[in-house]
Amino acid sequence: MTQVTVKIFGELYKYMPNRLDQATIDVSTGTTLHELVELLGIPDHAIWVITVNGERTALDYSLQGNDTIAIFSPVGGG
Amino acid sequence: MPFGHQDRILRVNLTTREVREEHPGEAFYRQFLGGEGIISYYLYKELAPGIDPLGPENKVIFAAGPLTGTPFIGGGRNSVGAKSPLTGAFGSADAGGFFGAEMRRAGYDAIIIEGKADQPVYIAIKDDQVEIKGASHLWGKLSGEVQTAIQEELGDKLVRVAQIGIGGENQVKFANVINDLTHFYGRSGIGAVMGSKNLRAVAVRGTRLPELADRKQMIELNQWMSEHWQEMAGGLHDLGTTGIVLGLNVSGGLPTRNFREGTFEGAESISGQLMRDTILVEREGCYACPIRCKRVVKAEEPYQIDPTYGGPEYETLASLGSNCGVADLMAVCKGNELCNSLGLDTISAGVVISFAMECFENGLIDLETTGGLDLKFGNGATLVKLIDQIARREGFGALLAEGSKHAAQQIGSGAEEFAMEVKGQELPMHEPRFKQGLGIGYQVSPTGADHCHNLHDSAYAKEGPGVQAAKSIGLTKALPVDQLDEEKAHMLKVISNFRHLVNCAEYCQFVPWSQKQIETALNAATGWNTSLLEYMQMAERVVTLERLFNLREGFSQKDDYLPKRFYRPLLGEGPLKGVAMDEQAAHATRQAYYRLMGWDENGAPTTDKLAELDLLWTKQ
Repeated sequence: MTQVTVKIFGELYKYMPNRLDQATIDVSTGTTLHELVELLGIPDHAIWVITVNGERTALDYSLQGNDTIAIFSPVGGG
Repeated sequence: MPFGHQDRILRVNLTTREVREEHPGEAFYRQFLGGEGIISYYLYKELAPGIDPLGPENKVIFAAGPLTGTPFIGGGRNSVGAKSPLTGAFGSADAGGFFGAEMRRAGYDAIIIEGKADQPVYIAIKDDQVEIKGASHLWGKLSGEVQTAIQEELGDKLVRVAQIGIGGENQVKFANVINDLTHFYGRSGIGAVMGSKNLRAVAVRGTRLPELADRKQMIELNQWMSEHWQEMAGGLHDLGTTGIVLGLNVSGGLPTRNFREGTFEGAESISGQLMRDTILVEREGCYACPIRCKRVVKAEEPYQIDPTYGGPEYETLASLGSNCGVADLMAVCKGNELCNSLGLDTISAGVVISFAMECFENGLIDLETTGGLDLKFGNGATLVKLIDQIARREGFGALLAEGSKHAAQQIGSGAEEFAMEVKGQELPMHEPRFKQGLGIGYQVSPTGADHCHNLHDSAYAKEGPGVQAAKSIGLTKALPVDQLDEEKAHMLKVISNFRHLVNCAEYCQFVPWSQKQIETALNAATGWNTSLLEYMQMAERVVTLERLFNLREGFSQKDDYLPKRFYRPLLGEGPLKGVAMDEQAAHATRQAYYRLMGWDENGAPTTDKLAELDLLWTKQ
């Protein structure tokens, strides 16, 4: 197992454990970013940008231990 | 009645002290609906072309919509309008809070204020009783002091006060109007118009609930939203609008150092998350809203920040923060508190200061010009001092109090290049090289650069519930944020017109109602049993009338511009580094927007369009 930190930005609270904006999650070794997003149940239209350790990252990236994944929903504005 | 309105408009003449009531009738409301629509009609009909916005001929109009003051979740908003002293064009601004609801409870859909008092006054309204009272003792005081004094004088803590601050008294061109100390009709400089009339405040208290055609239907809608808002807008409760600082930064669209860059190295230091975890003491809300997205912050050091004046929105974190290069949350929050207690629009205040900073950096102004203020980007202490100077028109602040367009003309030597304004109104905190349709929206907005009735491309860039819901008003599909063509012009028309409708209906855009639910809510209020087709046509009529107002004032296609900066590559770091808007594509998109609106190539509505919208009377 690999432990990663997930942070969400925007209206993604409902996909997170306990509806918090940050959580530590255990994933199987070799899990990709795409699989993590599916695990959390976040649909594509709700995602704007994903960064891993501060860098924009493609969905086929394999998660490493202690990675911090930040998921941003589309920013409208008002 | 009822048809969702009181059918009562109060008219107060400050010169003659005459007070009277008018009843425009259902046919009027069915054309202009409410809020911004009421304002557009009366300003067009009653203001002679070319009047001085700061002269007694201008009129200030507070206007509510059919949803204001009803139980409808988010129905706590109203608009304030006048000919804008900042732009010389149609001016209007919106706010939430409680003032609009109270005005409706007092029995009025709108208050039209005309003339000029010979000494400072405020208007006190309690249901049918209207009094013009002396305000000399309130002149020169902070907004918090004034609200307390008025409530004590009237012997009623529940009186809702809409007022100007010292900035409005001094007719700063971007002075705001404040209600309940923490809600702001920020844009268009309406506070200066009130100041020019010697009108410090309007205080209102009412005891009658607006009638609804179908209360049961509205309660059902509210029950639905009560069950769903947490999953749809829970983030707004947690972080308010400040939650988007980091999202925009990572997208490369966080205005930084006067819109030169789109990514700010100090974004974490001005983020909503940091504010929540350090100085946030409370979350507040508006009339009939469970979300409570408003921030209240408090600090003792290094600045004393008074929670009486709430806390910054996203717009302010960016305008006073990243856009001035200031990575100091405390300085930004102090600047916000000063704008709020002194009555300045935080967007224009921040952008006029970032303009001055860029002039300073390029040697167009120096320490001698600024009276010793070191206007380096990033200097939070100077930011705080300068806000106070602007409101009081002291020192270098007196020049900036005129707005960035005028200040640039005064400074000369190419300073215009650094003025981030359209029609004289400073850009809000949304980067046109990120949201490119919004850049066209800035150009064609009747009030100058605006984000409240504009298209935010990123909200419609992916197929999902937002795009699906907007199909009911004519959206066809999602489009990339950087697409500029006829399709984007169509999206701009549809979304922008809908957002004007929101400002006529008067409910909050942050409550995640779908367009179809708004149709139901408006029908429940009015009993008109009609469709979005008619409601959208009302909005188009209002936008068209505002266009006609501006054309009559001498505005034309040449005033529908964007600062040249946006046609050049975005500097700094971040994912949009090097991105520029294509000037030809932008021009073509603006022309396509004109055509879709039924305007000719110069941006003037055609006679056929006037006939379609029942606006032929404007040709007489």
